[in-house]
Amino acid sequence: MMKKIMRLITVCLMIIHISGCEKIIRERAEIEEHLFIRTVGLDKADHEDCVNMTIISKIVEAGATAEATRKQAYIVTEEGRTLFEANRKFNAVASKDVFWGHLQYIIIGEAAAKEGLSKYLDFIIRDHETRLTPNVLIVRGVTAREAIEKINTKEFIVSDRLKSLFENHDELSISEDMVLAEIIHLMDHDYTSVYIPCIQLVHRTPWEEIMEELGGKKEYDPMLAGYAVFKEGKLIGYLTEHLSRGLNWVNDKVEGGVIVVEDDRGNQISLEIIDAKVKKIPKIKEDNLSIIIEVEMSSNIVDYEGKEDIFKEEALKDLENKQEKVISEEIEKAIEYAKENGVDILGIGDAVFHKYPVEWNAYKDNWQEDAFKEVPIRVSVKSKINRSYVIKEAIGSQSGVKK
Amino acid sequence: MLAPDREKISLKQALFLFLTAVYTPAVRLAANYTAIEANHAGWLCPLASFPVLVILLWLIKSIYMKHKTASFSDLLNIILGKLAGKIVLMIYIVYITLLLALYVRYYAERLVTSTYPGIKIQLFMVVMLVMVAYILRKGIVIIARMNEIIIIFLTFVFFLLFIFLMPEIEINKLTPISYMDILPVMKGSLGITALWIYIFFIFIFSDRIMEKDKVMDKGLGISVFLLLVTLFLIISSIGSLGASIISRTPLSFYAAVRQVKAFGIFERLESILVTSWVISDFIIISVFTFIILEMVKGLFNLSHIKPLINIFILFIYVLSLYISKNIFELQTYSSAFAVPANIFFGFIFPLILLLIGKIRRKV
Amino acid sequence: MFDKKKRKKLPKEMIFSEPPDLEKMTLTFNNIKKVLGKSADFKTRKVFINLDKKMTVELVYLEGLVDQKSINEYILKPLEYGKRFKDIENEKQVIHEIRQGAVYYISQKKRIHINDVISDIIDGNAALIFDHEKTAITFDTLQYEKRNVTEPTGENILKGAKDSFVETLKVNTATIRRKVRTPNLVINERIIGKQSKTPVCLIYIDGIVNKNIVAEIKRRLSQIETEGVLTTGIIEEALVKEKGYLFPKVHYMERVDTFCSNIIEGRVGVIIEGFPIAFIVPVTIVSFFQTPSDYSQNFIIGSLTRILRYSLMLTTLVLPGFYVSVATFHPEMIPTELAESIAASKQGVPFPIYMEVFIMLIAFEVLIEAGLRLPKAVGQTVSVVGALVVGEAAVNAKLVSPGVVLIIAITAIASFAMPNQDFSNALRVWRFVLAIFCSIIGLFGLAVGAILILFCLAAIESYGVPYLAPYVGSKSYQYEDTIIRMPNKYDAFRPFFLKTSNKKKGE
Repeated sequence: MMKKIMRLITVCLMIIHISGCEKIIRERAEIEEHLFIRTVGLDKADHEDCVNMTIISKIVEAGATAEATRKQAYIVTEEGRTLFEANRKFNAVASKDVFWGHLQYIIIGEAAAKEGLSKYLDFIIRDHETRLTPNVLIVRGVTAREAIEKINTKEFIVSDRLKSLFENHDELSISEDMVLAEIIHLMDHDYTSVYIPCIQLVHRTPWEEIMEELGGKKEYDPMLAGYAVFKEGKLIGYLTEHLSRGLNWVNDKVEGGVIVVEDDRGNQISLEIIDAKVKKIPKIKEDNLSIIIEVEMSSNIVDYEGKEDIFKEEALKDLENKQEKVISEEIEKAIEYAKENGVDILGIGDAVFHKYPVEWNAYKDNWQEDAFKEVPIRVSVKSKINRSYVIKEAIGSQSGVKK
Repeated sequence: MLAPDREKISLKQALFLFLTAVYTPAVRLAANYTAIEANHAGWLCPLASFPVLVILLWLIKSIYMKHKTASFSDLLNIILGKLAGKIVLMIYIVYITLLLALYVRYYAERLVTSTYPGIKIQLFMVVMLVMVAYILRKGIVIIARMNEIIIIFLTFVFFLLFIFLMPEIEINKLTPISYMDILPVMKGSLGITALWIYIFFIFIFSDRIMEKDKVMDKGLGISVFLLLVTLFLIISSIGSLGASIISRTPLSFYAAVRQVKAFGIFERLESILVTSWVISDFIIISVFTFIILEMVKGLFNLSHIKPLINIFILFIYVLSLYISKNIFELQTYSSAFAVPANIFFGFIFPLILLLIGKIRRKV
Repeated sequence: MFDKKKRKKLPKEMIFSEPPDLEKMTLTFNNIKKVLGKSADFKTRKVFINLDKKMTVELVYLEGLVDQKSINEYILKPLEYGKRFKDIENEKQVIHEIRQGAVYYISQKKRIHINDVISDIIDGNAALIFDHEKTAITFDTLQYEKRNVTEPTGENILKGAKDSFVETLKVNTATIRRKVRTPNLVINERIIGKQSKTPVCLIYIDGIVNKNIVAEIKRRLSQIETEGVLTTGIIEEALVKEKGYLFPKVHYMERVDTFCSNIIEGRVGVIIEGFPIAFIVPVTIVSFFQTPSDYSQNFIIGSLTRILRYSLMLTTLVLPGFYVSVATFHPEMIPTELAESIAASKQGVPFPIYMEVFIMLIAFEVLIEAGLRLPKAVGQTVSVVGALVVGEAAVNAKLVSPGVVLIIAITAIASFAMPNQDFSNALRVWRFVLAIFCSIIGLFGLAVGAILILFCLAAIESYGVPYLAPYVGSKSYQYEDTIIRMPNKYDAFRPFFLKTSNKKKGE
C-alpha cells in the first residue's frame, strides 16, 4: 500500500513539474506546413549593417494527372540586422514554416562578399537544421536576389539549373563546386585563402529580344565564370577563364577541357584533355624552400582545321610541346596572380606542411605575405597525345589514295 | 553478500555492458577532445590509451583473484579495514553519483542541441528516469540481456554510418605525423583513458559476475574491438571534416554524419544516430544507478536495493537539474574536472589498492 | 410495499434436482439406469448366457459411441454360443470365464465402483453388469466419426509431410508414435475438467528432457480447476504463470513434424482431446521464426529467408511509427523530391499524419476481423470492392493521403509473413503503442518504445528459459539455427538453454 502511494506521489510531482509549460512540443509541424527551400540568396542590404535574405521554393499543386500539377516559384526577400532575424521575419510573411534541412545552394552577392564572409555564413554553420553540405556561389554583377529572380524560369527552378551547371563543370574545368565544409577548412587556417566559384548572368541570343518586344520575358542564363578570390574573408578579385583553369591545374582539379594549339601553318588543332595528375613537391635544400609543380596529362586530337599530316612523330612531338607551353603559361599566370595579391589559393603552404611538418614552423608565420611571395615555384609539364577517333588524317589531305 | 545464481550475469555480458557504457561518451567527446589536444594527429590517441586498458584488466584480475565472490565494498573492507574501507566507499559513492548526474544532464542537453531545440530538458529526463526506475526493479540480469541485443544494433548502426562516411574521408586531413605530435597525442589520450576506466566501475558489482578468471582472455578481445571502434570513430570524424571544425563541435561524430552523402540516396541520416544514443544512454544510466545502489547496499549492509530505487532516482533528477546552469559550464566541468578525476578513481586508486593489498598479503 | 412476507414462494416444479451421489451407490443395473437413463442414447440389452433364461446379464452402452458390429461378433456371440459357458451356474463363474478369455476382446476391465463403470460407458465402452456380484466388466468398443488426417490449414510447406493433427487424441498419439519411434517416448495422460473430463497428454522423451520442467508442468496442470476444457486458453494460461506482456509463451502448431522435432530437441509437448492443435513448452523467440521449409532447402536460401522474416518483423513493428516521426519531426531524412511530393499530396487532407496513420491501422484491424467472418461466396466481391473503395475513393476524397495508404499496406503484408499467428497478434498491438509514442515526440519516442519492447522480451522467462535465448545467454552461443541456418553437420549440440539431460546429439 505504501509503495503504491509513494509511486503515485512521485509521478504526480513529476507531471506537475513538466506541465508548467503549455506548449511542450514545439517542434512538431506537419509535413505540408514546411516550406522546403533549396536555394538561399544572401545580400548586403541598403540600410547600415543589415542583410537581405532571399528564399525561393517550389509550390507544387498536385493535380489528378502529371500535366495538371503546376509548379510555381515562390520568392520572398526579408531584411534584418542579422541573418537569423531575417529568417525569423519570414514567418511573418510566408504562409509556411521555412525548413532549412534540404538546403543545397547558397548564393552570396558581390557586395556582401566584399564586406566579409563570416558575417553571412555563421548562422548557417551554427544552426541545427542546416548542415555543412550546401554549395556556395558568388554571383557577379548583380545582387543575389536579382540573380534568383532572373535565373528562375517556368520549367526549371533555380536549384535545378545550378545543379546542371555544376554537373557539367568538368567539361571545361574552369570552375568547381565548393562545399561549405571545405570553405570553413580554408578559412580556419591562416596560411590558406578562400576561393569560391562565381557565376555570371548572361543574356540569351538576340532573337529573344524580338520576343521581348512582343511581351515575353527577358531570360537570362547562369554561366560558370571561374572563381572569386578572398583575402581574410573579403572578396578581392576574380579569376576567369585561363586564370581559373590555371588554378585548377595547380589544385589537381582539372578533369576535362580544351587546349587549342596551332600547327606549322597556323591551322588550329583542338586537343581534349583526358586526364591530368598534378603534384606539388616542396624541396628544402640548405634552408631554401622551393616548389616544383609536376603536371602529367594526356589528351586526344578532336578537331583539326588544316590538311597536314600531323600524325608523324615530329609533328606530334611539336604539338605536345606547344600543349605543354599553353599549360605552363596558364599555371604561371595563376601563380603570378596569387603572389601579387598575397593569397595562397594554390595549396602550396599545405603541401609544405604535409611534407616538412617540423621545418614548417619557420615559415608558417605570415606565410601569405612573406615567405609565399618569395618562394621560387617551377612548373614542369609532361604531356602525351593518345589518339584520335574515327578518322586519322583530315579530309582533303588525300593521303589515303596512293599517288 | 552472495547473490543466488539466478541473479548473476556472465563475464561476457559484463564486458558488453562496458562496451555500451563507453559508446555514449566516446561518440560525444572522443574525437572532440583529441582534436583539441592533438589536432590532425588525434587519431593516434587510442593507440596510446590501449596499454592502460590492458594494465587495468590485469589489475582487476589480480585484485579479485583470491576473493571470487567479493564485491568492491567487501574488498575495501578486507584490504583497508572496516573504517577506512567505509570512508573510501563513501567517497566513491559521491563521485559516481556526480558522474551519473552529469550523464543524465548531458543526455538531455544533447538531445535538445541536436534535434529538439524547443523542448524542455525536464521532459527527456523524466521519461528516461521513470523508465530506468521501472526496469531496474527487475535486476541487472534483464538489463544485461537487453544490452546484448542493443550492442548488436549499435555496432550495426555505427559500422553502417562509418562505411557511408568513408568516401568523405581525406587522408590529407589526418597527416602529417611527426615527432612534434607525440606530446599532444599523449595529452589527448588522457581523455580516452578517462572513458576506458569504466571497466573498473563495472567490476564494482563483481559479486554478481561469474567466470571472473577468464577476464584477461575475453577482456583482451573486447579491448582490441574497442580500440578499433574508437580508431574508426576518430578517423572518420577528423578525416571528413578536419580537425579545425571538429575541435569546436561538441558532438563531433554527429557533425561528421551530417556530411554523409552515400550514393546520393542515403543522406541526412543523423536522426538514426540520435535514436541509438537514447538507447545506449538508457543502458549507461541504469548501470551506473545499479553500481551506486550496490555500493550503498554494501555500506549499510542492506539485503536488497529495491526500495531505494525510487528515492535515489528522484534525488538524481534534482541533482542533475542543478548541477550546472547551462551547457557551457557542463562542458567545462566535464573536460576539466571529470577527466582527471576519472583517471584517479578508475586507475590510480585501484593501483594503490592493489599495492596495499599485496603489502598486507590479503590479495 | 416491500413487505418481505408477501414474497412469492417458488412453485413446486422449480425445485432443483440433485444429481445422484455416485460415491454411495451400489453397482446395480437399476442404479446405472437411474443415472444415465434420462438420455435417449442409453441402450440396454438383456443377454442370456448360453441362451439360458436363468442366466441373464445386462449389456449397457451408449448408442453412437460404440462399434455395434464388434459388440455383436465378439461379445454377444461368444456369450450366447460360446463353448466355455456351457456349464455355468452362477455369475461368479461367468466373470471368471470372461477374465480367462472366453469373450474375444482384448480390452476388458473389471469394475467394482459405479462411477468407474459410468465413466467407462461414457467413454464408449459396452458394460456387462452383474447384479449379484456387484461387479461389471467393460469392453472398449469406442468408435465414432472422426475427421481424417488432412493437410494443415495454416502452415503449408512444399517439400515436407502434409499431415496435421486431428481432434481425436488417440489418432494424434498414433501419428506421433509413427514419427518418433524411440522407446523412450513417454505419453503421460491426465484428465482435466469437472464436466468435460478431457484427457490431456504430456509427451516428452525420457532421458533427454530436463526433469524439472516436466515436474513443473505436471504440477501446474494438476492445479487446474475448471468445469470444462473447451477452448485452448484454459490449458495455455495454466501452462504459463509468468507475465507475457502480450507475447505468446506457448508455441502452438498444427503440423506433426514441427512438434516431433521440438520433442526430440528436449522440449515437452501437450496435446488435448478435441483440438487439432498441439502446444510446446518452453518456447523461445527463435521458434516463432522457424518453419520446416527452411530445413528442406539449401542452407543459404533458408538463411536468407530467415533473415527476411526478421527484417519483416522489424518492418511491421516500426514502419508506421517511423513514418509518423520522420514526416512530422525530421523531414530532412526524406529525399527532397519525395518530401515535396508527399507535402503536395497531403494538401487538403484535414487530419495530421498521426491521425491518418491511426485511422488506417484501425481500418486494417477492422478488415482483418471482418474477413474472418466473410462467407466464401461473398469474399471475392468484397475484397475487390474494398480495395477499390478504400484505396481510390478515400484518397480522392482527401480523407487520407496516398503515402499513408502505401505505408500501411506494406506493414500489413509484412505482418502476414510471420509464421506464427500469436506472435503476429502481439506485434499488432505493439505497433500501435510504438505509433503513439512516435506521434508525441518523434524518433525519441521510437527509441523509448524500442527499449520498452526489448525490456518485455528480455523479462519473459518460460520455465526458467529466457525468451530471448539463444541470442542472450550466459555461456557460449549456439548460432547454428537462429537467424541463419547452418548445414546439419554443425548441429551437434542440443540447445543449451533447455538444460537437457544429455547435451550432445547422438548419445
